[in-house]
Amino acid sequence: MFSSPNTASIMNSVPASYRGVASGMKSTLQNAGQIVSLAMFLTIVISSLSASLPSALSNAMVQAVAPQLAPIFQKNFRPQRVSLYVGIRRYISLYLRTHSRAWASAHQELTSSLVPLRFPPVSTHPPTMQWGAPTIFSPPASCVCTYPSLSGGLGSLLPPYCPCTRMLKSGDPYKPIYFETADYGAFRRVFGLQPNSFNCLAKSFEHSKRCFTKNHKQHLLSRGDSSGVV
Amino acid sequence: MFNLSLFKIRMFLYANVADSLGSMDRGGVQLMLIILLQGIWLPLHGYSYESTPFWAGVYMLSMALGFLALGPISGAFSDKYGARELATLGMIVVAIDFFALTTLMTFGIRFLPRFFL
Repeated sequence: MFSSPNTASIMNSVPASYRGVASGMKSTLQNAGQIVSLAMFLTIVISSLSASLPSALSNAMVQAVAPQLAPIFQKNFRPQRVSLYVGIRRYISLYLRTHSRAWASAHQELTSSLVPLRFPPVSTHPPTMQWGAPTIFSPPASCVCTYPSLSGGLGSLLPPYCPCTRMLKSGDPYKPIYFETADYGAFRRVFGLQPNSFNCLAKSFEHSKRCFTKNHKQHLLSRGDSSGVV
Repeated sequence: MFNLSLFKIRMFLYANVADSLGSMDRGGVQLMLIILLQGIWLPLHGYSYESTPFWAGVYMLSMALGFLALGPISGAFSDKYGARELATLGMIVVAIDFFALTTLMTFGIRFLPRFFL
Protein backbone atom coordinates (compact mmCIF):
# COMPACT_ATOMS: atom_id res chain seq x y z
CA MET A 1 0.00 0.00 0.00
CA PHE A 2 2.98 2.28 0.43
CA SER A 3 5.54 1.39 -2.17
CA SER A 4 3.49 1.52 -5.36
CA PRO A 5 2.12 5.05 -4.84
CA ASN A 6 5.52 6.15 -3.61
CA THR A 7 7.19 4.87 -6.75
CA ALA A 8 4.53 6.55 -8.82
CA SER A 9 5.12 9.88 -7.12
CA ILE A 10 8.90 9.56 -7.55
CA MET A 11 8.56 8.86 -11.22
CA ASN A 12 6.02 11.65 -11.66
CA SER A 13 8.17 14.22 -9.93
CA VAL A 14 11.11 14.13 -12.34
CA PRO A 15 11.22 15.44 -15.91
CA ALA A 16 10.61 12.79 -18.53
CA SER A 17 14.21 12.79 -19.74
CA TYR A 18 15.48 11.86 -16.25
CA ARG A 19 13.25 8.85 -15.64
CA GLY A 20 16.01 6.28 -15.99
CA VAL A 21 18.30 8.14 -13.60
CA ALA A 22 15.49 8.61 -11.11
CA SER A 23 14.58 4.94 -11.18
CA GLY A 24 18.20 3.93 -10.65
CA MET A 25 18.58 6.32 -7.74
CA LYS A 26 15.40 5.02 -6.19
CA SER A 27 16.48 1.40 -6.28
CA THR A 28 19.97 2.33 -5.05
CA LEU A 29 18.54 4.14 -2.05
CA GLN A 30 16.14 1.30 -1.40
CA ASN A 31 18.90 -1.29 -1.31
CA ALA A 32 21.10 0.97 0.79
CA GLY A 33 18.22 1.33 3.23
CA GLN A 34 17.84 -2.41 3.47
CA ILE A 35 21.56 -2.89 4.21
CA VAL A 36 21.54 -0.09 6.78
CA SER A 37 18.57 -1.78 8.42
CA LEU A 38 20.56 -5.00 8.80
CA ALA A 39 23.39 -3.10 10.47
CA MET A 40 21.02 -1.23 12.75
CA PHE A 41 18.94 -4.19 13.88
CA LEU A 42 21.91 -6.49 14.43
CA THR A 43 23.69 -3.76 16.37
CA ILE A 44 20.66 -3.44 18.61
CA VAL A 45 20.49 -7.20 19.08
CA ILE A 46 24.19 -7.63 19.81
CA SER A 47 24.40 -4.70 22.17
CA SER A 48 21.40 -5.90 24.13
CA LEU A 49 22.62 -9.50 24.23
CA SER A 50 26.34 -8.92 24.70
CA ALA A 51 26.07 -9.01 28.49
CA SER A 52 24.32 -12.36 28.66
CA LEU A 53 24.90 -14.21 25.40
CA PRO A 54 28.47 -15.54 25.83
CA SER A 55 27.84 -17.01 29.26
CA ALA A 56 24.45 -18.38 28.25
CA LEU A 57 26.00 -19.98 25.19
CA SER A 58 28.82 -21.55 27.14
CA ASN A 59 26.44 -22.80 29.82
CA ALA A 60 24.16 -24.40 27.27
CA MET A 61 27.14 -25.90 25.49
CA VAL A 62 28.53 -27.34 28.70
CA GLN A 63 25.18 -28.75 29.77
CA ALA A 64 24.49 -30.28 26.40
CA VAL A 65 27.89 -31.76 25.69
CA ALA A 66 30.06 -32.33 28.72
CA PRO A 67 29.47 -31.09 32.25
CA GLN A 68 33.06 -31.58 33.37
CA LEU A 69 34.24 -29.14 30.73
CA ALA A 70 32.59 -26.33 32.68
CA PRO A 71 35.78 -24.80 34.13
CA ILE A 72 37.45 -24.77 30.72
CA PHE A 73 34.57 -23.16 28.96
CA GLN A 74 33.97 -20.66 31.70
CA LYS A 75 37.62 -19.76 31.61
CA ASN A 76 37.55 -19.20 27.88
CA PHE A 77 34.09 -17.73 27.49
CA ARG A 78 34.50 -14.64 29.53
CA PRO A 79 31.67 -12.29 28.66
CA GLN A 80 33.12 -9.42 26.72
CA ARG A 81 31.90 -5.89 26.82
CA VAL A 82 30.97 -4.41 23.48
CA SER A 83 30.89 -0.73 22.80
CA LEU A 84 28.33 0.02 20.17
CA TYR A 85 30.59 1.70 17.65
CA VAL A 86 34.02 0.19 18.22
CA GLY A 87 33.29 -3.37 18.87
CA ILE A 88 31.30 -5.38 16.41
CA ARG A 89 34.00 -6.68 14.11
CA ARG A 90 36.51 -6.99 16.89
CA TYR A 91 33.89 -8.72 18.99
CA ILE A 92 33.11 -11.30 16.34
CA SER A 93 36.74 -12.17 15.65
CA LEU A 94 37.57 -12.31 19.35
CA TYR A 95 34.57 -14.48 20.00
CA LEU A 96 35.48 -16.90 17.27
CA ARG A 97 39.06 -17.10 18.49
CA THR A 98 38.05 -17.80 22.11
CA HIS A 99 35.57 -20.35 20.83
CA SER A 100 38.20 -22.33 18.94
CA ARG A 101 40.62 -22.01 21.83
CA ALA A 102 37.99 -23.49 24.13
CA TRP A 103 37.56 -26.45 21.82
CA ALA A 104 41.29 -26.96 21.55
CA SER A 105 41.94 -26.95 25.28
CA ALA A 106 38.91 -29.11 26.00
CA HIS A 107 40.07 -31.66 23.50
CA GLN A 108 43.62 -31.56 24.79
CA GLU A 109 42.36 -32.23 28.30
CA LEU A 110 40.32 -35.20 27.12
CA THR A 111 43.04 -36.81 25.03
CA SER A 112 45.73 -36.35 27.65
CA SER A 113 43.67 -38.45 30.05
CA LEU A 114 43.39 -41.34 27.61
CA VAL A 115 44.73 -44.64 28.89
CA PRO A 116 45.16 -47.71 26.71
CA LEU A 117 43.33 -50.78 27.95
CA ARG A 118 43.74 -54.35 26.78
CA PHE A 119 41.49 -57.32 26.83
CA PRO A 120 43.08 -60.46 28.22
CA PRO A 121 45.05 -62.00 25.37
CA VAL A 122 43.54 -65.26 24.15
CA SER A 123 46.84 -67.15 24.04
CA THR A 124 47.63 -67.10 27.77
CA HIS A 125 46.12 -69.84 29.87
CA PRO A 126 44.66 -69.47 32.44
CA PRO A 127 43.45 -66.17 31.10
CA THR A 128 44.24 -63.45 33.55
CA MET A 129 42.94 -60.00 33.28
CA GLN A 130 45.67 -57.69 32.16
CA TRP A 131 45.24 -54.00 32.29
CA GLY A 132 47.38 -52.10 29.93
CA ALA A 133 50.08 -50.03 31.46
CA PRO A 134 48.51 -46.73 32.43
CA THR A 135 50.65 -44.71 30.10
CA ILE A 136 49.60 -41.51 28.53
CA PHE A 137 48.21 -42.21 25.14
CA SER A 138 50.35 -40.60 22.53
CA PRO A 139 48.63 -40.93 19.19
CA PRO A 140 50.51 -42.01 16.07
CA ALA A 141 51.19 -39.37 13.49
CA SER A 142 48.16 -40.29 11.42
CA CYS A 143 45.97 -39.74 14.47
CA VAL A 144 46.80 -36.12 15.13
CA CYS A 145 43.70 -34.03 15.33
CA THR A 146 43.22 -31.23 12.87
CA TYR A 147 41.61 -28.11 14.15
CA PRO A 148 39.47 -26.51 11.47
CA SER A 149 40.73 -23.04 12.13
CA LEU A 150 42.61 -21.69 15.06
CA SER A 151 43.00 -18.27 13.51
CA GLY A 152 39.33 -17.34 13.64
CA GLY A 153 36.85 -17.43 10.82
CA LEU A 154 33.75 -19.54 10.53
CA GLY A 155 35.75 -22.78 10.55
CA SER A 156 36.54 -22.35 14.22
CA LEU A 157 32.90 -23.03 15.04
CA LEU A 158 33.52 -26.66 14.13
CA PRO A 159 34.88 -29.22 16.56
CA PRO A 160 38.35 -30.59 15.85
CA TYR A 161 38.50 -33.52 13.47
CA CYS A 162 40.24 -36.48 15.10
CA PRO A 163 40.71 -39.56 12.91
CA CYS A 164 41.64 -41.76 15.88
CA THR A 165 38.27 -41.63 17.56
CA ARG A 166 37.22 -43.94 14.74
CA MET A 167 39.37 -46.64 16.33
CA LEU A 168 36.84 -46.88 19.12
CA LYS A 169 33.86 -47.64 16.99
CA SER A 170 32.63 -51.19 16.71
CA GLY A 171 33.50 -53.04 13.56
CA ASP A 172 36.90 -51.45 13.33
CA PRO A 173 40.03 -53.59 12.93
CA TYR A 174 41.38 -51.98 16.09
CA LYS A 175 38.59 -53.34 18.26
CA PRO A 176 40.64 -55.32 20.82
CA ILE A 177 42.41 -52.21 22.00
CA TYR A 178 40.29 -49.37 23.09
CA PHE A 179 40.75 -46.36 25.19
CA GLU A 180 39.28 -45.27 28.45
CA THR A 181 39.09 -41.78 29.73
CA ALA A 182 38.59 -40.53 33.21
CA ASP A 183 34.96 -39.95 32.27
CA TYR A 184 33.97 -42.18 29.43
CA GLY A 185 30.38 -41.05 29.46
CA ALA A 186 31.34 -37.52 28.61
CA PHE A 187 33.83 -38.74 26.06
CA ARG A 188 31.12 -40.73 24.40
CA ARG A 189 28.80 -37.76 24.41
CA VAL A 190 31.47 -35.59 22.83
CA PHE A 191 32.72 -37.95 20.19
CA GLY A 192 29.71 -40.23 19.72
CA LEU A 193 31.31 -43.54 20.60
CA GLN A 194 29.76 -46.99 20.72
CA PRO A 195 29.91 -49.32 23.73
CA ASN A 196 32.48 -52.11 23.55
CA SER A 197 31.86 -55.84 23.51
CA PHE A 198 31.93 -56.21 27.30
CA ASN A 199 29.27 -53.52 27.64
CA CYS A 200 31.44 -51.68 30.08
CA LEU A 201 31.05 -48.16 28.89
CA ALA A 202 30.40 -46.60 32.25
CA LYS A 203 30.21 -43.26 33.87
CA SER A 204 33.71 -43.32 35.25
CA PHE A 205 36.94 -45.17 34.85
CA GLU A 206 36.50 -46.93 38.22
CA HIS A 207 32.99 -48.00 37.35
CA SER A 208 34.19 -49.30 34.04
CA LYS A 209 36.96 -51.26 35.72
CA ARG A 210 34.52 -52.86 38.15
CA CYS A 211 32.12 -53.71 35.36
CA PHE A 212 34.90 -55.23 33.31
CA THR A 213 36.09 -57.34 36.26
CA LYS A 214 32.57 -58.62 36.95
CA ASN A 215 31.85 -59.50 33.35
CA HIS A 216 35.23 -61.12 32.98
CA LYS A 217 34.62 -63.25 36.07
CA GLN A 218 31.30 -64.38 34.69
CA HIS A 219 32.96 -65.16 31.41
CA LEU A 220 35.59 -67.31 33.13
CA LEU A 221 33.05 -69.08 35.35
CA SER A 222 30.85 -69.89 32.41
CA ARG A 223 33.84 -71.63 30.88
CA GLY A 224 34.25 -73.65 34.10
CA ASP A 225 37.57 -72.04 34.80
CA SER A 226 37.90 -70.61 38.28
CA SER A 227 41.66 -70.32 38.45
CA GLY A 228 41.77 -66.80 37.12
CA VAL A 229 38.99 -65.51 39.38
CA VAL A 230 40.27 -63.41 42.22
CA MET B 1 24.72 8.82 -13.34
CA PHE B 2 23.71 9.63 -9.79
CA ASN B 3 22.26 13.01 -10.58
CA LEU B 4 22.26 14.89 -7.29
CA SER B 5 20.57 17.91 -8.80
CA LEU B 6 17.40 15.83 -8.95
CA PHE B 7 17.21 16.17 -5.17
CA LYS B 8 16.34 19.81 -5.68
CA ILE B 9 12.89 18.56 -6.57
CA ARG B 10 11.12 18.40 -3.22
CA MET B 11 8.76 15.63 -4.17
CA PHE B 12 11.63 13.43 -5.40
CA LEU B 13 13.73 14.07 -2.29
CA TYR B 14 11.04 13.30 0.24
CA ALA B 15 9.67 10.35 -1.68
CA ASN B 16 13.15 8.85 -1.81
CA VAL B 17 13.71 9.46 1.90
CA ALA B 18 10.41 7.78 2.66
CA ASP B 19 11.23 4.92 0.34
CA SER B 20 14.61 4.19 1.93
CA LEU B 21 13.11 4.46 5.42
CA GLY B 22 10.38 2.06 4.33
CA SER B 23 12.88 -0.44 2.97
CA MET B 24 14.84 -0.10 6.21
CA ASP B 25 11.88 -1.15 8.32
CA ARG B 26 10.95 -3.87 5.87
CA GLY B 27 14.41 -5.41 5.93
CA GLY B 28 14.66 -5.18 9.69
CA VAL B 29 11.29 -6.75 10.27
CA GLN B 30 12.07 -9.54 7.86
CA LEU B 31 15.39 -10.32 9.54
CA MET B 32 14.06 -10.13 13.08
CA LEU B 33 10.97 -12.21 12.34
CA ILE B 34 13.03 -14.93 10.68
CA ILE B 35 15.43 -15.03 13.62
CA LEU B 36 12.53 -15.08 16.06
CA LEU B 37 10.70 -17.84 14.22
CA GLN B 38 13.71 -19.99 13.49
CA GLY B 39 15.48 -19.65 16.79
CA ILE B 40 12.77 -19.18 19.39
CA TRP B 41 9.17 -19.54 18.42
CA LEU B 42 9.12 -22.62 16.16
CA PRO B 43 11.41 -24.75 18.38
CA LEU B 44 9.27 -23.85 21.38
CA HIS B 45 6.13 -24.99 19.57
CA GLY B 46 7.16 -28.48 18.68
CA TYR B 47 8.88 -28.04 15.34
CA SER B 48 12.10 -30.01 15.10
CA TYR B 49 15.28 -28.03 14.56
CA GLU B 50 15.75 -29.46 11.09
CA SER B 51 12.38 -28.20 9.93
CA THR B 52 12.44 -24.69 11.37
CA PRO B 53 13.94 -23.01 8.26
CA PHE B 54 11.20 -24.45 6.10
CA TRP B 55 8.40 -23.38 8.40
CA ALA B 56 9.92 -19.96 8.97
CA GLY B 57 9.88 -19.57 5.21
CA VAL B 58 6.26 -20.66 5.08
CA TYR B 59 5.31 -18.13 7.74
CA MET B 60 7.17 -15.39 5.92
CA LEU B 61 5.19 -16.21 2.76
CA SER B 62 2.33 -14.14 4.16
CA MET B 63 4.49 -11.07 3.75
CA ALA B 64 5.27 -11.89 0.12
CA LEU B 65 1.59 -12.63 -0.54
CA GLY B 66 0.68 -9.23 0.84
CA PHE B 67 3.10 -7.59 -1.56
CA LEU B 68 1.81 -9.66 -4.41
CA ALA B 69 -1.84 -8.87 -3.79
CA LEU B 70 -1.68 -5.24 -2.77
CA GLY B 71 1.01 -4.01 -5.16
CA PRO B 72 -1.10 -3.83 -8.33
CA ILE B 73 -4.25 -2.88 -6.42
CA SER B 74 -2.65 0.07 -4.68
CA GLY B 75 -0.95 1.09 -7.94
CA ALA B 76 -4.34 1.30 -9.62
CA PHE B 77 -5.79 3.18 -6.67
CA SER B 78 -2.91 5.65 -6.71
CA ASP B 79 -3.64 6.43 -10.34
CA LYS B 80 -7.27 6.99 -9.47
CA TYR B 81 -7.16 8.84 -6.14
CA GLY B 82 -3.66 10.33 -5.99
CA ALA B 83 -0.42 8.90 -4.71
CA ARG B 84 0.22 11.08 -1.68
CA GLU B 85 -2.78 10.10 0.40
CA LEU B 86 -2.42 6.42 -0.40
CA ALA B 87 1.28 6.35 0.48
CA THR B 88 0.57 8.13 3.75
CA LEU B 89 -2.14 5.61 4.52
CA GLY B 90 0.30 2.79 3.78
CA MET B 91 2.87 4.23 6.14
CA ILE B 92 0.22 4.56 8.86
CA VAL B 93 -0.63 0.89 8.37
CA VAL B 94 3.07 0.06 8.71
CA ALA B 95 3.25 2.07 11.92
CA ILE B 96 0.25 0.20 13.32
CA ASP B 97 1.88 -3.07 12.34
CA PHE B 98 5.06 -2.11 14.12
CA PHE B 99 3.11 -1.32 17.24
CA ALA B 100 1.43 -4.71 16.91
CA LEU B 101 4.87 -6.30 16.66
CA THR B 102 5.89 -4.81 20.00
CA THR B 103 2.96 -6.66 21.58
CA LEU B 104 3.77 -9.87 19.72
CA MET B 105 5.04 -11.73 22.76
CA THR B 106 2.01 -10.84 24.87
CA PHE B 107 -0.70 -11.57 22.32
CA GLY B 108 0.91 -14.40 20.44
CA ILE B 109 2.17 -14.79 16.94
CA ARG B 110 -1.23 -15.28 15.35
CA PHE B 111 -1.36 -11.50 15.08
CA LEU B 112 1.68 -11.59 12.83
CA PRO B 113 0.95 -8.64 10.55
CA ARG B 114 0.02 -9.80 7.11
CA PHE B 115 0.64 -6.73 4.97
CA PHE B 116 3.78 -4.69 5.15
CA LEU B 117 3.18 -2.31 2.30
